[in-house]
Amino acid sequence: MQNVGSTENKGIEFSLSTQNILAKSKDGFSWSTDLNISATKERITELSQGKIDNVADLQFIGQPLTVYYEYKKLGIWQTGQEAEAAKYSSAVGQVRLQDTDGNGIINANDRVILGTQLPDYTGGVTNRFTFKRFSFSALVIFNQGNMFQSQLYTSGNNTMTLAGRYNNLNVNYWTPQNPTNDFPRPNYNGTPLFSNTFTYFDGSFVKIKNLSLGYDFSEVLAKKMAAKSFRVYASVQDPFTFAPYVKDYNGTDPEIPGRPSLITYTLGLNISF
Amino acid sequence: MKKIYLSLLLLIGIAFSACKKELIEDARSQVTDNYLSTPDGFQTGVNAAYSYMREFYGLEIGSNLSVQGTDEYTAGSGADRDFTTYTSNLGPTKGNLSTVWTNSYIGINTCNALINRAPDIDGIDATLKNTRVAEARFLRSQYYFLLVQMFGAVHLTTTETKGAVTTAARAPVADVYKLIIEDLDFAIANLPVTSNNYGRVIKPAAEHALAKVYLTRAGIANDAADYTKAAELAKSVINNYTYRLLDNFSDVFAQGTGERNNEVIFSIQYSSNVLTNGMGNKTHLYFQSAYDVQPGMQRDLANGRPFSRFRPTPYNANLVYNNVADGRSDKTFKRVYFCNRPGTYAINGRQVTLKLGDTAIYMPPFEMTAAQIAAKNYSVFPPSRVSDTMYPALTKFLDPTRRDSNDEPGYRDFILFRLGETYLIAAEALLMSGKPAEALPFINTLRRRAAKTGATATETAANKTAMEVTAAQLNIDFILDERMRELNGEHQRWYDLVRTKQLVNRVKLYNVLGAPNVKDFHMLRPIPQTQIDATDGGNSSFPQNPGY
Repeated sequence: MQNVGSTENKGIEFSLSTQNILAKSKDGFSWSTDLNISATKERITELSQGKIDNVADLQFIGQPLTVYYEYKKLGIWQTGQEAEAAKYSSAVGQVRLQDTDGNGIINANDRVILGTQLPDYTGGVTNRFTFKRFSFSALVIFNQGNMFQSQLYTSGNNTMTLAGRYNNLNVNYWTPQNPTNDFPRPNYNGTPLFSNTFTYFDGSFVKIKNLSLGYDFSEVLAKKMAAKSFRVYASVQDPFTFAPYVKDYNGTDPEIPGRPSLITYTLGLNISF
Repeated sequence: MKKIYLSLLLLIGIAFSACKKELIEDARSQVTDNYLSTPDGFQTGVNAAYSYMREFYGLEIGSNLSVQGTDEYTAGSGADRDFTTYTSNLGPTKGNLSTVWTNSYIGINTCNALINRAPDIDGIDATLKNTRVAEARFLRSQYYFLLVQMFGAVHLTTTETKGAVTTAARAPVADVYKLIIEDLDFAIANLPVTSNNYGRVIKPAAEHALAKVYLTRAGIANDAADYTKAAELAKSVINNYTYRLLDNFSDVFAQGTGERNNEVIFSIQYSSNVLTNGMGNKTHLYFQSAYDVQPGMQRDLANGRPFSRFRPTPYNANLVYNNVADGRSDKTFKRVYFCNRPGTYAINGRQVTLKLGDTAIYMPPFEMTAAQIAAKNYSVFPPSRVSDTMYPALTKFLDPTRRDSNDEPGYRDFILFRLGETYLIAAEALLMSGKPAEALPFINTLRRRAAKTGATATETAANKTAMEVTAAQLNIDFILDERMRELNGEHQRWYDLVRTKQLVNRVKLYNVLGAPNVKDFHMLRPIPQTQIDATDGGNSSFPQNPGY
């Protein structure tokens, strides 16, 4: 057993609970809010060789533990850029990469750290409302600034070959009539060049995690049913996700990359005797 | 009645008491490092050293890195086309390249451990130990030979790796060949001529390997001495042992006991035993095209599961063979399929009823007119109509003994060295030494064997004569064509073209997909980026090959 490095973790957590409106009477309207936010900064300070990056294992001094180190996609080579594209052994309609060291060729030195799986901050807000015998709560969670690699967009899954052999994701691909910078030109004769570069996505999201509505029957009514208390409620889990990956790229819930999240509806009774 | 019950009970009693009461478990979750230094462990280790050959020969990676992107095969519809198109996707991060790199070094390290530890292992017969070391050195030479042909200067190590190492360097190509030749010299001096364990490497196999190594090294600087050595070794394999060319070319690849025949010098072992077959020899999948979606056809064991990976170039399928006298084209490609799903189908613009066994598909190597095609009661694909989903299929790897037509693991041995190639090595080495007259008998013997069998003995004899060529016809282009005709699909082509420096020339001529992009620098594969990234100093201490 050997220690092969050290890391540093710094962060803040903040939570705030407020009673926004206090009920003036037993049946009055009340509103309370819980808010929490946390932000973590993580960085590698030393590795087995000292302050030297371990590129093979994607560990870089001063960076978080999990980073994506890849060519950076700037866009798509457009009509009129034939000569420039050819200089980089590419062609119009193919992914245009950042020539980081500016030496006129694309090679391993042009890779950059694209992002990290670690979000800048995460948090949640719960709002609770009560009025008479009704109670309502809503939980919203959010996550900002992380990156993830989408399995849907990896050509190995045959969902993003842009070659016509397999059913493809419905993406905004380049054609001479559609000079987009999103995705390259489909090509029957092979997968697009540098297809890895368009598999990374912003993992930020805002999600309505839970909505719940309840009603407590009066004790009198409960007693008639030989119960101490009687409550009915309805709740829904994960009804809405707002994320660039979902909105712009037909993606699934970025909180659990790789599969769609389930929307769960619950109807319930709470009876205690 | 009672008595019967009683005796029955007694019987059961006896049966139970015969069982041992205690269960002795010998659970081993892990083999310790020390095991390799025991006689048993050493022998098991040698077996393991062979196994990495199966990570290449028999899987798609082996075909991708040998037949694709050549004048022999181009991409079928299911292929990873990067190996044919020579675009920048065939770069340092290409998966197959890091796989062959890593697996070869795992194989090399296993051999190094065996070779280093052997002197200190007691309790094993000295001759046997020597034989096993010779096997390990042969295998190490094969892993290095693969690497040096693909990547050029590679990291050279002859000691077992213990613990993490972060330094590596690209040893000169000459040093890599020096080690390969030392290893094969040792193997030739110490291996027996036969083995009662079929599949182990024997002396003639090491001679064939060394002949190929000299031939390849000779190509780098046109070295006359190397060509001479290659020719001598090849002649030794041809003359000094019991190998002979089989009378019928097809029999070389006949399945069953046929894979072990007088022409096979060394083959990678596969078997129908699921426990030992690993991933199996999957080559049967890759050369078949989608016959099973044509009218009157469905997938079956005899025709194979069509992965549509490798499609013969038009040059290979239609031009390189002389179909009048040469029987090998018909014995290499399946051009006719017979109906295995009877019914009535729309074929050539009309309804045709196909019975079981009727011709359903025909892919002639020549053009036919629209009127000729329309007159046929089956689907016709002349050269102008073949596509990357429908093309003549290479038959030599088919494996109809699998349990089900969809089974991927195959059982056949992968034939790596066979006498047919030894003849071609001898001929090429002699030709390149400026001795075409000496090369000629090897070519003509091989070509006479390949002659088409005629209806009469006279016709056969005429075909054999027609197959003969003259010394004046011999040149490196002829040798390359002959290698294509004889060794079609046998994982040789990319290396043949690189050795003879004909890769760019021939791909431009005969491979439409590869022609626009192929350049001189493609005669070496890119060093896997994973290796460069893992080396202290990165690209400055482990530089990438030029062009990538």
